[in-house]
Amino acid sequence: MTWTSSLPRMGDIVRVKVRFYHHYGIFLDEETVVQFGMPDNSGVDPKDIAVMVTDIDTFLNGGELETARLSVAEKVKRFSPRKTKELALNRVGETGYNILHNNCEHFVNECVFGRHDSFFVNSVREEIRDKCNK
Amino acid sequence: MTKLEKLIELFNTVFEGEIDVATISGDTRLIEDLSLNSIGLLYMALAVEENFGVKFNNDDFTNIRTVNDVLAKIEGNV
Repeated sequence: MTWTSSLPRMGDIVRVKVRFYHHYGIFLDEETVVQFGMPDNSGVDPKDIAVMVTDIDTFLNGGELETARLSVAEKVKRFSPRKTKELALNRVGETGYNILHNNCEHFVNECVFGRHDSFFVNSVREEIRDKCNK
Repeated sequence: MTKLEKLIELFNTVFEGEIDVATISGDTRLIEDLSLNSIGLLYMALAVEENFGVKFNNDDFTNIRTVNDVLAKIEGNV
């Protein structure tokens, strides 16, 4: 998966840079981005972080939009945009946020690929393992 | 090696000299004394998970403030 500045389409993964990480969402249209939590959840009780629908400006919070460009293999594996939309909207209101084990990146990967995965968390884990195994 | 010593060694490995491990004790505060920011806390949590076989839940990120709190988590007392 690579990231571009191109305009997203329904069912695309979008992200915005927030300090040292990215916040992810599922783009449906300019009024409808489904995201797990907000770009900045500082000060928010994790119990109150939920899957929600906002417009694109709220999702971006002044940041720059990036749209996922899937590889050929990823395009084959992903759910249809319509199914992604259905999955995302069906989870609105869901809680259980955990930055390590159930974050916004996990959410979008579940909606698009049916896979509970966070590249960011995985890469930090790899980095830690490399350091500990030196 | 005690669990505290093992934890300090882990901090030294993960943060590679960015924190002064010589001064760490059980009462050391992660944010105020070690200057761990959000990414530092994330690295700390993942490192502890990987090396001690525990799993951090949401309450841990709110409740764990000191090295002793991390040890209590490792020992299953949180």
